[in-house]
Amino acid sequence: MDCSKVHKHLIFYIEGSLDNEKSKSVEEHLRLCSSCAAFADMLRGSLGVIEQEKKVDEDNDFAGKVIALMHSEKKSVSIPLFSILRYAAAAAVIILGVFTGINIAKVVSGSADFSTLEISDEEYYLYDMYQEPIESFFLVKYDENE
Amino acid sequence: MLFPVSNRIKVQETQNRYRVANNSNNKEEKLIKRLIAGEESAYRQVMDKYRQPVIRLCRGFTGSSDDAEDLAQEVFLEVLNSIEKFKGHSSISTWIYRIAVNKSLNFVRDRSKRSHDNYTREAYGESNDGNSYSADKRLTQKEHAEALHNALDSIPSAQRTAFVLSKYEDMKYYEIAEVMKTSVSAVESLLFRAKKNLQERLFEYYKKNLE
Repeated sequence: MDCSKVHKHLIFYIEGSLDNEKSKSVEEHLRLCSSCAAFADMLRGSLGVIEQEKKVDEDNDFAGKVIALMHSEKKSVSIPLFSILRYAAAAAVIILGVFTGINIAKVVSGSADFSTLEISDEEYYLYDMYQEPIESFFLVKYDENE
Repeated sequence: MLFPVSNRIKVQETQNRYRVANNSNNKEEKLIKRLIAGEESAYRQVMDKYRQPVIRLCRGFTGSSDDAEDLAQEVFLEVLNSIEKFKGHSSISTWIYRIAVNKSLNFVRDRSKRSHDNYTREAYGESNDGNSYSADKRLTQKEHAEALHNALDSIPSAQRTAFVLSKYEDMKYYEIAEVMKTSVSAVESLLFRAKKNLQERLFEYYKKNLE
């Protein structure tokens, strides 16, 4: 087996997943080729890091820290009073706007019922429609012309 | 007519396995209910069980124990905050692993976007000054780790995920396939290519640094 072939198989040789025949060929080559042997050593070293990194330190109240973080996040997520008031004010403005709109629409379309409207004395004199209704005035004039 | 003894043993084994699976499913269901109810003891139970695997997995992706610990905290925060979204299509461990893999991949992607140049220089800084190993042509543990993680960072994320799950978690092919939502044969192929690529990158690294 030449160097390039050995390089292709080396990682599998190191992890022990190469079949017997190939494994023996690689082994033989490594015994004779110092540069491939050096590469194999380094590859073994780098892959050996994994075993070291798999060791996890003891628990320093990891769960406690996460639970505390979760509670603090929930607090920061909870809506403050100012936001609630802001939303309430916005809702009030919208409701007021809707009612005003409905009432204006009633007046404009003439569906508003003024028959039950009671007018005070002061209002009566101030409100000249009652003294001389425009509609009846025009109607009279129109009749006279006819 | 009675079945042969060997068959009866097989049936019994299957029944036992089914019973064990059922029991663990029931336990998991109860645990999930307790998590949804916000029981602190359930939170602790989950973290006690999965803290080590999750940190190990994150370490495999990040190459740093501090980053792995921080990421693991984020993983469990997400697990606890979104437990109601868990539909039970997989086991809770698979779901936790998926969250850990996604968080780790995002972290590594952000890190490489943020400071790719700095990170590479930092990682190879010691190697380039020629003092640390040129005399005996041997790499220190730290340099081996840097070489490995730089090589891992340079391979496609699916290959990296399969490799980390296999090597850091000692997962079997079918378990990796479950986490990655793919087939066993796809996992085999991903692992094969991951090892090949990793070996090439490491070889380039050694060649560059030892010549």
